[in-house]
Amino acid sequence: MNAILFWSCAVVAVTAALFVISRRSPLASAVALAVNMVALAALFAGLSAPFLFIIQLLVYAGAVVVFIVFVIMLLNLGEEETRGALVSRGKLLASALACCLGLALLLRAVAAGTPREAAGALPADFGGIESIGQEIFTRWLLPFEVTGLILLVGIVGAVVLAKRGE
Amino acid sequence: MKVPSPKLTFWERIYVVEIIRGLGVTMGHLLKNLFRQSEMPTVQFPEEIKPVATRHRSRHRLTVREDGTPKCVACMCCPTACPASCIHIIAQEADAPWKEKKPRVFEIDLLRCVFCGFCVEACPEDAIRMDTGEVTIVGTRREDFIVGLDFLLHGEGNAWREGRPEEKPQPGPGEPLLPPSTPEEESGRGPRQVLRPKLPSAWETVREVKP
Amino acid sequence: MEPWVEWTIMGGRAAVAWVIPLMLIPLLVWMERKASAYIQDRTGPNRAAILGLRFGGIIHALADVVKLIFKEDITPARARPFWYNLAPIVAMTFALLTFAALPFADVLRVGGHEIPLQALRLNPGLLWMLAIGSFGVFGIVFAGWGSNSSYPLLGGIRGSAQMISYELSLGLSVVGILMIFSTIDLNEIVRAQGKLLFGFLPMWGVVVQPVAAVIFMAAALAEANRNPFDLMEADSEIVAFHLEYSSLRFALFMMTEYVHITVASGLTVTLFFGGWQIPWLTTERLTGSAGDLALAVPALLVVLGLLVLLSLVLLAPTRRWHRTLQRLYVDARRHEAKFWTVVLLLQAIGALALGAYLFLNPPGADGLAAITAALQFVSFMVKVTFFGFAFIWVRWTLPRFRYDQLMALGWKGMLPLALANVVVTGFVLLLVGK
Repeated sequence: MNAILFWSCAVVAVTAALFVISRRSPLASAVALAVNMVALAALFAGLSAPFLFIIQLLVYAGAVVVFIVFVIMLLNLGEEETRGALVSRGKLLASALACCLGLALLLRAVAAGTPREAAGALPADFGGIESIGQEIFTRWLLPFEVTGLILLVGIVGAVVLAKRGE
Repeated sequence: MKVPSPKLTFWERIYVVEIIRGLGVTMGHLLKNLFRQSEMPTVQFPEEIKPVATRHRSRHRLTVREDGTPKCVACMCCPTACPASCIHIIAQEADAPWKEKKPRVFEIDLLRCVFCGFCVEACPEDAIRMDTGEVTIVGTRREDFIVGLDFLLHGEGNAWREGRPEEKPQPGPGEPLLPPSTPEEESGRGPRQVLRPKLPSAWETVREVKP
Repeated sequence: MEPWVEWTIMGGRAAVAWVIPLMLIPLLVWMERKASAYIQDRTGPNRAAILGLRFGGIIHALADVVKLIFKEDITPARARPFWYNLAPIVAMTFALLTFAALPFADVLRVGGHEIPLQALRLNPGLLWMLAIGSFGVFGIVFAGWGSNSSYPLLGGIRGSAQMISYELSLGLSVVGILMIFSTIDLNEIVRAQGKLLFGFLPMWGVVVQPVAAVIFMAAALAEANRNPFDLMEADSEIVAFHLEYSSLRFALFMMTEYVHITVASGLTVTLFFGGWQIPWLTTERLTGSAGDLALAVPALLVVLGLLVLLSLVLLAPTRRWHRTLQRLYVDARRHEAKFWTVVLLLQAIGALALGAYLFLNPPGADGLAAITAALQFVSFMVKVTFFGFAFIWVRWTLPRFRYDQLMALGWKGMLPLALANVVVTGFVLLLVGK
């Protein structure tokens, strides 16, 4: 059951990711991204991490992609505006880099070997909102607050940029 | 033009109180209408029919004398007055010595009629009136609405549709067109009277002479 | 439990969560048309009939369906067919999925098994509602984009901007509830609302979080694109995002609106009005003291049956009953009086029989649990239907906001208020020392 879920979601996620970078229409790319996010969320659900599953849906598929789609629509981006050179030096460089990274990850995973069985029984509240909250607000409090600060800086920057135009 | 917006009090500005008051108003109407249906102004038309006013101009009728003959003397006043050219009269010699003509054909196209009532005003004999009170004139074909002498004298409601034969099937694409038919032919009232009067015999003789 | 039983129960739970919003569509459409008519001193629909039975105009819902099915289905030549066809499906699917997390009765404990009476038992159930709810924007965006026409595009942008803006207030208003009940599981939230405040007041969300309740309901109206926030499809002045749609695809958008109403009212009920709770009667009270319910339910059924029978006897012979109906409802037919007489008679007999059966065979613990679940389900449905009606009621009361007013209210009014509510709730909880 879990294997079926994993493989179907994995195939969907990878296919959708390929669609994201291969579609010409920006909206198609954005929606493929949303499908990718949903497939990832399903993977999280399979890993008994319900909170992460929901947050993945809520934040990435629900909010981020919706914003991307909204901006695409607001600017009415068609294929014409986004059509650049099919092959360029920058693109080649970026894909090469990405391939290297992917290869490194793959090698790392192969070297580590797949765990044959789970590393022991999970605690009852694993992946639940309480345990994650405990972790975030005790052990990882400083990184969490720094993240919040970075987001605040981003918002302030956006406001400044928007105001300058007036 | 700048319209100054009215000053709102605090309670009006936070919406909620006013919204609840508004909801109260609408709920009052809803409940009143739910439990006092008979007091609703709506008229349930086919079941209840509102009487039309006496001066309302409804479908025409032709009046009759005491002996049952139409009062109409085919004076052509009403087709002359008609702005919609919906009245068609063919006169014939009257049989009584005290009047010259009577209508042989008196047709009104109710689809063309604008119900202005000029024909009633124009009539010197009080032969045409618009006081039947009939306002629902229903038909499924244009020919249905061309009403003749019989119906205008004695008909009621949609009586002209009674005894009418079934509608002929319309030819499908590619099939030959049916021969043109007239309402008289369809209603079995015999062939339609020729609308244009036949040429007087004198004309024919003239034409014969000419070549 | 055997696997097939488990699967059947799972399918049944999903089916109930699927069927409730779908079945409420015709009812809400009927309420919309009839209530709006009565509010505006009109009669409303009452002409469509089956065998002379008009049912106060509810047959019109059926006539609408027939009409919408047989209308010509047009895809504009310049539309983007993939997005254009996807849009109504996406809108409807996500609207229906949202309902899955709502509990319609407490966890049913039968024969040592626990059956959660909600289609999707998720620990973070509330977040599920918000997450899937935000997916609804996709339907509008696809419709606007796929139609490839200026007006639907503008309508789509307007609609999605509105939904994105009000999602913030919606999410933030819920935070107060989470803080007070300190759980995010929807069923637990409902259970917590069964407690009593000061010993007599049910601790419903609306009692402990009135500001949040108002903000939530307003934001829910905006999320469902209902008046006074129905700028997206303000029929009379601006063009809607589903301009290019016809036939069943348009019908899907139309039905999505009513599913949204059901979801919004379901969520309102669950968070602020005690969900499936019957006031003052918690699950423990209903199932615990065995004597209570085992006597009360048959007694209630018998009383109900007798009341109906009595009213029938008083209204008989049929002529009088007919005249009463005629006076109440001008569109009632003689048929209809007979029909309702038979229905009420059957209902009375059924109630009496069931009451007698329950009286003679008092239900055991399992039976009591089942009866409790049924009562709670009825309570939930009554509340949901009432709030569905309330949304319709609001629509026919309030005028529409202008777009700048809408945005100002959302960002400058409700968002700060929701934030302040969170802060104040936090302080109060700190002081009370919960």
